[in-house]
Amino acid sequence: MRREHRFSQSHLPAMLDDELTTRQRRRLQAHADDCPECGPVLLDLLRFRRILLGLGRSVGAGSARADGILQYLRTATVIDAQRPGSAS
Amino acid sequence: MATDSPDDALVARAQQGDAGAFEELVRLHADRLHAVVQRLVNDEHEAQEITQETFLRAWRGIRGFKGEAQFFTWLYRIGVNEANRRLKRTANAATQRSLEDLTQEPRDPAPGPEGQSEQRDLQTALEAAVRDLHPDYRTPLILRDIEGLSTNEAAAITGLHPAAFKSRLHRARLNVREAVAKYL
Repeated sequence: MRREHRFSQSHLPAMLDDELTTRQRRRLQAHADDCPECGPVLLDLLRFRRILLGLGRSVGAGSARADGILQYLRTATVIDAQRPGSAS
Repeated sequence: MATDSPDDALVARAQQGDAGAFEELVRLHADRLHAVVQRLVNDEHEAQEITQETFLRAWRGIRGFKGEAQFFTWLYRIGVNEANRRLKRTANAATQRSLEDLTQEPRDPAPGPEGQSEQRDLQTALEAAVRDLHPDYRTPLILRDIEGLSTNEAAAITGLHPAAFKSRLHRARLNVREAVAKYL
């Protein structure tokens, strides 16, 4: 049990990041199913990852802010071009 | 060498001085970069400034971009570095409270109702917990868990070795869990 607990603790980050082999994942899962410490941590962190990833996906690749940025760039690069010795 | 991405042709043209190609890169990446920076600095006005400055630096430096990483990795690195530089300069204590402070001062002591409302409460609590992480821990969590970048991509953006990145990420996740414990 202690050996499995140590394995679980050390491999938990890799489990969350989907970096374990199938065999390692099953081993950790088997321990987590019975361990009052590892089980809740694993479940919580997996749940958090789903929610947080959803937050990121709510902002798709897009250009809503692009116009303001491009205006800034045009102004800034005009200033660049007016500098003595500027190549642009 | 990075694998081919949709950005590659635009980058190559921008490196030849094609401003239109760079404008297209801005349109492709502006919103996501702004979202990342906004989460890092927790200030809309500053996020806008940093995003603008990031693209300006990228335009000025694009000829030096060697394609060893993907364009967005390089771009995010500029933005994340600038955001963290400003955070260190301002050293805003309110946004950099320690986990100890968080556990002593809950943001919302009222438990939410069942079901979807609980989920929304948890999401709100998670966002607050991420905001309250120290920037050294917040950055890995945002890049990996919110942006969904790979460990190697996110580590490259932060300039950390992947092992050090993973260590910080795990610590950040555990800190967030502790901060939202009352919602679980």
